[in-house]
Amino acid sequence: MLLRQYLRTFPGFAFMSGEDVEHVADAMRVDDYPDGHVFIYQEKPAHAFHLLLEGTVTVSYYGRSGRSYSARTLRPGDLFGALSLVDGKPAMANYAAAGAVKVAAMPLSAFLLLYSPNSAIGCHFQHVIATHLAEDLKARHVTLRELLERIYPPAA
Amino acid sequence: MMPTDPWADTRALLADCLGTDDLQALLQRASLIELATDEILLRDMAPTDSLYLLLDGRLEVHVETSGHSIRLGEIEAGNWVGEVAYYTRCGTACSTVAAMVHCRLLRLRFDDFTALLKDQAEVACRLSHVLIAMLAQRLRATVNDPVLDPEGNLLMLGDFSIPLGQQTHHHAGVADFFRNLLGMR
Repeated sequence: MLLRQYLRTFPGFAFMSGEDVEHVADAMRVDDYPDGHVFIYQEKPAHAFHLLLEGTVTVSYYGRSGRSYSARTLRPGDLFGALSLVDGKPAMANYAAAGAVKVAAMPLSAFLLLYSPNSAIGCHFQHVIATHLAEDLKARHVTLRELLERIYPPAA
Repeated sequence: MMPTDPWADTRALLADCLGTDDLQALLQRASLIELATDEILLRDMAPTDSLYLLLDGRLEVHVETSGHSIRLGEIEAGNWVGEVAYYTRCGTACSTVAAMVHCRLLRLRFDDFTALLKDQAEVACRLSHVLIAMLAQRLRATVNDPVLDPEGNLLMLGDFSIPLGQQTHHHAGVADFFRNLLGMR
């Protein structure tokens, strides 16, 4: 019930019927995970599409120098893992639980079936994925603007 | 005298971009615009209401704040811009996009894309698929921190644009996804 409620509140699900949302929810499994659990490893393919329901997940990555950077913290309602599933390339960051978390996960096989553009639900699911990736890209641009402000602080 | 088709010389590019010749529903809602060299198409954080497909020319993309900027990369013909503002519903551009040379673009207002999604799901779905590929490419191109070029300008090193020949041109569904994942052709 909690999962269906979450999904219906997402802007990306705007074009999905109630029945479509039920199908998406049915394709996801909700589990509890302990502190430190790594959902996705950088440079490894992702195996599932995730929705954070409770707790926080830290996104970090190793830069060109090998140093680890904390990129952002995900909150309940945030989606993660789609990029690697969409383009079939390794993940760009590590996603790890910061404390105990509850996460809904959709396995790769179900993701690919839903993502197929040859069906109405597939088209609507693509809208969900596009919205999720756009939110990620927008967040990245915000981070780059913040970096600019640190390099060139506004004059007092 | 037959009326001239404003899209006559761009139908092939559009068909290539979307993997279909069924372009009427899209073209009915689209318009053509042109940019002079150095003209600004989108300004970072400024209002915007449209998606754009670059038909001819080359665009340059920056994030900027307080007069300083980071160059994200270049957009070549066959690539779209404006998709982040559409999907995030924020109504503002998330980067500055400027013409490096004279450019010609197809403009599709957000409201018209939404109408397309409701009325012409197949074409809209093909477009969504292309836009997802562009979003993925841009996410990967901006993952690392920028570097300084010899002139002291900040820039990203990744490829921001997808060459037309490398774009997804067709929709064979799940079978193709598995083929791609397994590296099969």
